[in-house]
Order: sequence, then structure tokens, then C-alpha cells
Amino acid sequence: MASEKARYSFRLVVASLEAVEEDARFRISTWDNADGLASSVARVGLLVPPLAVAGGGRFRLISGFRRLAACRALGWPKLPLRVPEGHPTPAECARLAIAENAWSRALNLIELSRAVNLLAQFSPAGRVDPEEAAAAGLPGGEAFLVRIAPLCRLPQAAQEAVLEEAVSLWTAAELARMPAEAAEALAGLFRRLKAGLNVQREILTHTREIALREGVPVRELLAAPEFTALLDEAGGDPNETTRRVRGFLRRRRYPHLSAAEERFRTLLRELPLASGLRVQPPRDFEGTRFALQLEFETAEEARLLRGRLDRLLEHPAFGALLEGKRRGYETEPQGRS
Amino acid sequence: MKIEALFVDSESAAEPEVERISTALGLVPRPVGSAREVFAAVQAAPDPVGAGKRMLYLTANRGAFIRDCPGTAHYTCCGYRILHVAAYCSMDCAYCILQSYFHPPVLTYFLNRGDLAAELQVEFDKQATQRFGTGEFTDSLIWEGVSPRNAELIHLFAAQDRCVLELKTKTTAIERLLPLAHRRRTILAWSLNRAATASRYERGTAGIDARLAAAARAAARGYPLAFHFDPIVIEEGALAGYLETIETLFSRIDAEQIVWISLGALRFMPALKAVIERRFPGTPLACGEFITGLDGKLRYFKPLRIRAYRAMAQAIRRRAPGVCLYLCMEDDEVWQEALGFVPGRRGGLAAMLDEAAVRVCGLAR
Repeated sequence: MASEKARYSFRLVVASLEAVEEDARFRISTWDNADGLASSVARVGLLVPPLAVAGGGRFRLISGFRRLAACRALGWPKLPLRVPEGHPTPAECARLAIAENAWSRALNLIELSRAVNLLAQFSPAGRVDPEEAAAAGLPGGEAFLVRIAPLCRLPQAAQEAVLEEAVSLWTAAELARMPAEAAEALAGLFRRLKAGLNVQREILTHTREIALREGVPVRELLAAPEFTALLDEAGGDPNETTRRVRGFLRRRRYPHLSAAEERFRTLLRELPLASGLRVQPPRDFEGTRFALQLEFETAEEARLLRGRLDRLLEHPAFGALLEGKRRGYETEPQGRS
Repeated sequence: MKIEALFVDSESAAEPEVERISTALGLVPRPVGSAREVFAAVQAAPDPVGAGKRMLYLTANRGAFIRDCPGTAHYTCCGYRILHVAAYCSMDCAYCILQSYFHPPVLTYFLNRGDLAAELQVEFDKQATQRFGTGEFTDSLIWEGVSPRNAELIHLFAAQDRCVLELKTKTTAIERLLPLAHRRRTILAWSLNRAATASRYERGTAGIDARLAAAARAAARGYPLAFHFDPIVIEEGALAGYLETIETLFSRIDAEQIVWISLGALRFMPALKAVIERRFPGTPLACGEFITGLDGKLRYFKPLRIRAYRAMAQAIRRRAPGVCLYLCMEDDEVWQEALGFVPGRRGGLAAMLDEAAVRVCGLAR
């Protein structure tokens, strides 16, 4: 560690802004707007000079892009820079840029992703060694680094959804595995729904599987009139929109099962089911045993239910409820197989 | 079989079969102290499931060679007895349960054939009708190029009158078996599918036409046959393809030669779904209308299974009314709806299959 310290000793220089150019390869921060920072710099000055490497009388900025933008916005002709001694390699510049960002504030997911890619870019193996990542101030083990790496390559709309925390890390990583237009379309949907991880997981899985099965691109599926109409019908209420989206996707993902459930509910409505009496089908209509539930508090209520139960058992729809299960409650065999 | 690395358990290295297998594969066996070394080599690969298909581990079976079929509760099992002669498969079917059954999966071949023969003799001595097969944990015939084990088994079964051996395959590797004196105690069985499903999901297997051509050759040499439409993949328009395969089957094979035909819709443990998605990206195989069955496996929604079975059963019965037709791992409700009866009414599925074996293979009662 002592030799590392010696390698990264810095000198302070004051450079003309015109002599400073940005090396965007080393940019970590996702913040573009420097207005707030400019206002602070105007009041208290530039507390930490940006980091730049010197060469040929010019300076390449590797960390402090917002600080540079703030100085430009303030019309400063010059600014102080910290310049590492010697001639740092690109890999060393990457380590410096990441360490300066990571040790000064909590990086968001896209910034972490940029940092991981920056380290990987200059790593001989082309991937990040977790120990080196930790030394640079990046959190997480190897699995986390692998998961997070592709996030900075997501389409802009999806990156914005990540930054807004409209999508979870799991969802973001899944979006990164999809074609750009699919990721963009789903990210747009999640920004609108503001749903939690489990709902995102369900929506994403259903959408992807429907698209795969039907040979329809995800973007096309989510742009279809029947889908956009249900978004419009829900108005601006995210909960109602989420409910409708989930219902639509489930019906499309499981058309026969959903139809059977609907027909079962229709049959159920024909039955004289008073309160306290419930009929439960086998889960997903796979098993053969139905359940009857009686809820009562007093013996009198129980006696009342007995009478209702007798009427239920004699009702023609009750037989249909039991017998129709194996056909999915279809009257005629139909549908695809 | 394209094996790239051959490992042998140090304790089994002196078995004569090692040299024969090594010569057949053109590989020098690498002795290992334990299976862990082989597993480590498999695990180190980017795709361990695929890597395990290219590494062969020769060892002794230290457990039982004969096992009961791992049928699950709630669904009717055929009562077939597994001869655990080898494990895993060099072919690469997207739906193959073995991808997630072994941890990690690696081609394994057991050398202690004396123990196998001894276990079989105990079963033969029971003088009871029994059905054995090697096709549960591996494809029975992928080993044909490297080992004479199938021929040995055929001879063992030919020397008794109560039991049958079923060799189940998706290959056409029957050349060495054709001239053997099998006495109809060995059933050669092929897994069948609709042609499009086979070419889409059964990588490295023989085509359906080729399988049926091999079956016809086996029939010409007197072998009893069996066919397994398993897994049936229910997709848009797939049923027509299955009916076509059934027609082709009966245009080439005399129904009298068939001991049984099974139907089984695709089902798998949920863990396999991730393996399919990772190893076969873009395949819609796991995007069917699956629900969680009573055994925890993902299965097609029951009415869809019934519909497919019923249509296929009707087609099979039109061409072969006398053939023993059964469902693999289904409940009585599906049997009744698809086939019109439940196995219990005919003494149970195992008894039905035993009876078919007695009738077609000429077993003693």
C-alpha cells in the first residue's frame, strides 16, 4: 500500500479552462445539471479541485465533470486542478476516478455499473476482480458485480427508470438481457405503474413469455391497441392501472386457465351460496377434490347453513361445477392444443 | 458420442472394460481419486450441463443397480424397474430433466457388471413378471459404440422367461443388437414426437423418420417394440403433427409387434425452467400453459392434456385397437377422460403392462 500511496501523489495546478478537456471514458456521475453546485461554488469556492492528468501543456479531466461544468457556468477563466505526478496509465486513471467518486458519496446503480465497466475495460481478464472493486470503493461480491455491469448499457429510458427507482435491481438486470426496444417499452410501463419487485417480476415474466410463445416482439405487445386502451381506461391511478395490466397479461399468458376460472365464477354465481358458505375448487383445477367451507358462530347459524347446504347440493349448477372441471368448464371441446 | 475427456475412478482402473472404452473413444483415461475431481472439472466449464455431456466418468455403481421408478404421489406410475447402468446423456434435449436431476450432471458409466448380473439374478429367481429398463437416467443406446453392455443384458434376459428388458432410445444405434438371440425378452423402444418438435427441441438425436426406420429393422429381426410419445409438447397447431407421426408409425410398423405405447405430456420440476432459458435462449418450450401439479412439477393445464391425449389415443386405437396404450404419470380423472377407463378397473397399470409383456413377448405366466 505504501508504494501505491507514493505513486498517487498529487500537485495542485491552476489551469486555464480552455486547456482542460473532458475524458468522457472516466465519467461516473449520472448528474448532468450543475446549477446547484455552481451556486455553492459561487458562495464558498471550489473545495475539492477536479482531478486531471497533464500532457503537452493541456489537461485531461478524469474526475470532477460537474465541478468543471459549474466553473464554466460561473464564467471562471481558470480553475485549480489536482494532477497526479508522473504519467498514470488509463487503468490507473480509472482507479483514481472510481475511488474519488465511490469514497466521496454513495453511487447509484447506474454509476456503480459505469464504475464496474470502467474497471473491467482496463482489466487484463476483461472482468472485474471483486477485490480490486472493493479496493476502489465498490460494494458487493462477484455476483453483484456481474449483475450490475450491463445496467449502464440499458437504453436511456430504462436507465432513467433505474435512477428513479421505478425498477428494482432484479428488474433492471432482466431488462439488460432483453433487446433494447423491449427494455425501453417495459421500463416505460414500470415508470407508469410504480409497482413493487414482485409485481414487476410477474409482469416482466408474463410479457417475455407471451412474446416468446406468440412470436411477437415485446414492444409490439405493449403497443397493441388492446393494451394501450386498458392503460387509458385506468386513468392516472397507478394501482388501478397495475391491476388491469396484471389481469390482461395473465389472461393472455394462461388463456385456457383464465377462461376456466371465469366460467367457474359464472357457475358459482348461479349457485345459492349465502354468506357463510364457500366452494373452493382444486388449485388450478389440477386435483380432483373440491372444498366446502362453512363459517358460523352459533349453533343456530350452523343449522341455517345446513339447510342452505342441502339446497346447494341439489342445485343443477352444483353438478356442473364438479363435472365441468375436467373440460375447463367448456361446453364443447375447442381451443388449441 | 463426442467425448472429449475420459476419467476413471482409480479403484476401477483395472477393469477390462476401461481399455475397451478408452480405445473406442480414442482417449487416454485420467485416473481420479473421487467423483469430486470430475465434478470440479464439469463445474469449471461455462456451461456445466453441456460440459457434462462431453466428459465420461467410468466408475463402479456403489449403490443399487435396480431401483423402483421414482413415481410421485397423486399420479399413476407404471411400476417399471430401473436398471441403473449409466447416467446422463450425450444428446441434448431442451426439456431433458437430467439437466437438473444430477448435481452436476456428468456422463457416468458403471463398470461393475458382475454386481449388476448378480442383482438381476436375484430378481429372475423370484419367478415373477417384471419389467426392467435402462432408459430412465440415460438413453439406453448411446453407449452402443463404446460398450457391449446392452448385448450382455439381452443375453441375460434371453436366458429366463419371466422378465423383460426395455431399451429406450432416440438413436438408431441398433446394428450390433440386430443379430442377437434375444428370444423376445428385450423390447426396443423409441421415444417419438412430432417431427417439428423433435427437430426444435431434441438436439443431437436421430430424426423421427430415422427412428421409425430403425424400429422397422428391429421388428424385422423379431424384436418386440414400444413407443413413447413423451414428452408431448402442447403448442399452437402441434396436435396435427403428433397425429401425423402416429400415421407414419403405423404405416411402417405392424401393430402386432408393439408391446405398449405411452403418452406423457411435458412436465418438469420448476428448477429446470431456468436451465432451459439459459441453455436454449429464445425457445418457447417453457412458455406453455403450465400449472403446478400435485407433485410440484410444472404440467400443462389439465383440460389441455386431456384434449391432446384423447385425440392421440383415438388415432392410435383406430390403427391398433389391441395395443396396450397408457398414460405416464396421470391421475384417474385424466385416464377416464382421455382413454375412457381407469387402470384400477383393469387391475392397475402395472398389471396391464405385465399382461402386455406376457402376451407380446411370450413371457411365462
